[in-house]
Amino acid sequence: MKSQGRTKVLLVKHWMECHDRGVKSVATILRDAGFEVVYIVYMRPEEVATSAVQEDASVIGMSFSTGAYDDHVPVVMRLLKEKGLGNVMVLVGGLIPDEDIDWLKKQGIKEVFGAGTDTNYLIELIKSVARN
Amino acid sequence: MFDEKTVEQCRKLMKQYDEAIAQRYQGKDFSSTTDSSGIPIKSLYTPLDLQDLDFEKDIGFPGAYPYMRSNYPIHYQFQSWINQPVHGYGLPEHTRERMDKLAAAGMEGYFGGRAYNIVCDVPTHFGVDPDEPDAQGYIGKDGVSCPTFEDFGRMLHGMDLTKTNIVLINGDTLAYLAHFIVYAETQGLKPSQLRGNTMNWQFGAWYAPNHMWEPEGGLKLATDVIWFCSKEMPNWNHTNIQGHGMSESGADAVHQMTYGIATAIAIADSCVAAGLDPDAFMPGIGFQIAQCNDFFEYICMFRAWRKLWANIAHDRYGCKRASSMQLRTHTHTSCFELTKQQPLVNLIRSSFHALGAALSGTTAMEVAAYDEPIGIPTEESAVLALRIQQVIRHETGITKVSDPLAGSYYVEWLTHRMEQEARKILKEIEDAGGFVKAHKNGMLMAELRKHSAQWRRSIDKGERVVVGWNKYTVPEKQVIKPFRADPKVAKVAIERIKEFKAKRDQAKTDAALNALVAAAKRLDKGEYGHIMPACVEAARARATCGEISKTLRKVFKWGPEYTMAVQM
Repeated sequence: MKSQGRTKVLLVKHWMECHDRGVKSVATILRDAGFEVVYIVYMRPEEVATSAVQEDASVIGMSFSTGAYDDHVPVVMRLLKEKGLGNVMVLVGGLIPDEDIDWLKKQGIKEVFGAGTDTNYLIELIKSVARN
Repeated sequence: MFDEKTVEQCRKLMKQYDEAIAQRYQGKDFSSTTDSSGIPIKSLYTPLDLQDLDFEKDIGFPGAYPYMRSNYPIHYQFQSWINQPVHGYGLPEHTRERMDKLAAAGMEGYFGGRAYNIVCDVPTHFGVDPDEPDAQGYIGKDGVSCPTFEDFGRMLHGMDLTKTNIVLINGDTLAYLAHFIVYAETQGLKPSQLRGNTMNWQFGAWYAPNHMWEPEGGLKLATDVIWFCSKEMPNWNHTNIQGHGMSESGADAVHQMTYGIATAIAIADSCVAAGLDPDAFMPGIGFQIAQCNDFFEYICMFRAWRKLWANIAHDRYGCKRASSMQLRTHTHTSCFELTKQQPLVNLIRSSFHALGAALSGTTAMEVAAYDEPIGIPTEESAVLALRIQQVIRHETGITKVSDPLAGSYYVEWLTHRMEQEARKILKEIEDAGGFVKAHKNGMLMAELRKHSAQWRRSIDKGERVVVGWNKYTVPEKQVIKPFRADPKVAKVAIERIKEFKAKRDQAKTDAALNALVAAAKRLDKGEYGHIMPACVEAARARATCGEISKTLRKVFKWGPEYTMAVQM
């Protein structure tokens, strides 16, 4: 499989979330597409920003099946900026009602994915990070 | 199984059949594999496929060992399955509203009794109180916030718990059950009078990404819950093996059955080693079973599962009671196969899943609501899901006959074949050193991941058709309003837990929690029977669910390092 260079994707899910089939599918799909993928289960949103620094991630994918994005996403976005990672592309996936997508994008989320995602679009979006 | 004349006739007709195929379809091969477990399937089954079966041993009668055809000689004709829709959200009084609405819509237990299948929110699931930082963002969103016996009171007031079946869907069973028992005490009831179900997942939820007990410690905790319930709560089903969770995480039908049974064997072995009588604890073990798209495969899985479990209870544990050998089942229809696209189509999918479960002879049923891929059910979608059960029960006529699909050459062949496949995998697990080792070395998780990746790949490539997702698509605009719990829930839950603690004698609470540490240390050394009474005492002394859970974590190892599911 051709390597996508330095494009490293950090996938995260909170430790209390029970449904991880989706995020693991994404992990497999991105690995098969040649990206380096790290998956972590976090306790507090602060850990997501810390891990992004440690892993030198270009893309972060946050998975939610239980609706805590309203609490966690603003914290992660603020901390990324504080740590000088404001240009890291952050994606959200999982069980996200369509009516919440605008709010997430206003927080700086690049794209929101849910059940039945077009994986080619996801792969192209992440490839665009390497090109920029 | 058939006389020589029939076999002879069959051979002759089969030859003609093959010739007809060759002539009509120019030799095209019509064999395929099942969707889920990869068992090769032919396009026709005949008596020739059942020749090696022994009628009494391999098929038998309903209500007779090994119970493959049904636990009971007369089943739905006498006693329908229990309606067990999962419900819970917000504060306890919010959940009570849904409980009452579902009851008013006809949700029934056995013989018209009341049964409630109540799910708590994830903080309560994992021993995190509402006033802790970890709970923020999760309070009351996907289940009921219920971390104290006072909360049980807000939810269950006025109910006669001696006649009501309460299922407590919760991860950290010990603390939650203790608070339920203390609530019952405030109503003048003893544990022996309570009826219902706990999950006892400290060991059983090995496939989940949540932080976990170190497996050996989790097994000890699970065993001690069973110890307590076997002795003090004869009407209580203590353990639920989550086949549905394994299915949702990627297990195919054969692996759902096999890993479910293997999990149960690990727990039952531990109970036997602790000195418990199998006929005392086996009836309290139940299985939560996912019924998925491949209609016949999941019916055959169900029948094979009943037979295997009866064989294991009889041969491995020497059980004598019928209820020890009968598979207690709660069907949970498939969720991963429901789509966010064209969500009303999910009503059709779930109807087939539920029909399959009823044809399998399940004893309880949760039918997923059509808005499952969007959020937790609204009142409308929850009632519609219940209506699916009611239509199947009252309108289809399938309840007139026990095990109505028996005798189908295909069904009997596939049931037998799935049993053989499961026996092979059970042996592989035994050969790997048993379930705990196979779990710890990642063997089980790897299988789930492999299958889930294959499933997804086949959809992305268009090899597997999912209506509305990769075929027959339409421009989507989400018109369904997702269910949302009252936004004030978190604030109220936090105030309540603070109030709960303010009303206590801290010295008494501390003493009870110290006593719990001592009981946990005894359990760690293999002394059973002390930990549940200590949890109940701590709940009486107003230690919260979160405090009790965290006290146990001082002795038993718990944390992300035991979360095998994260390993990639």
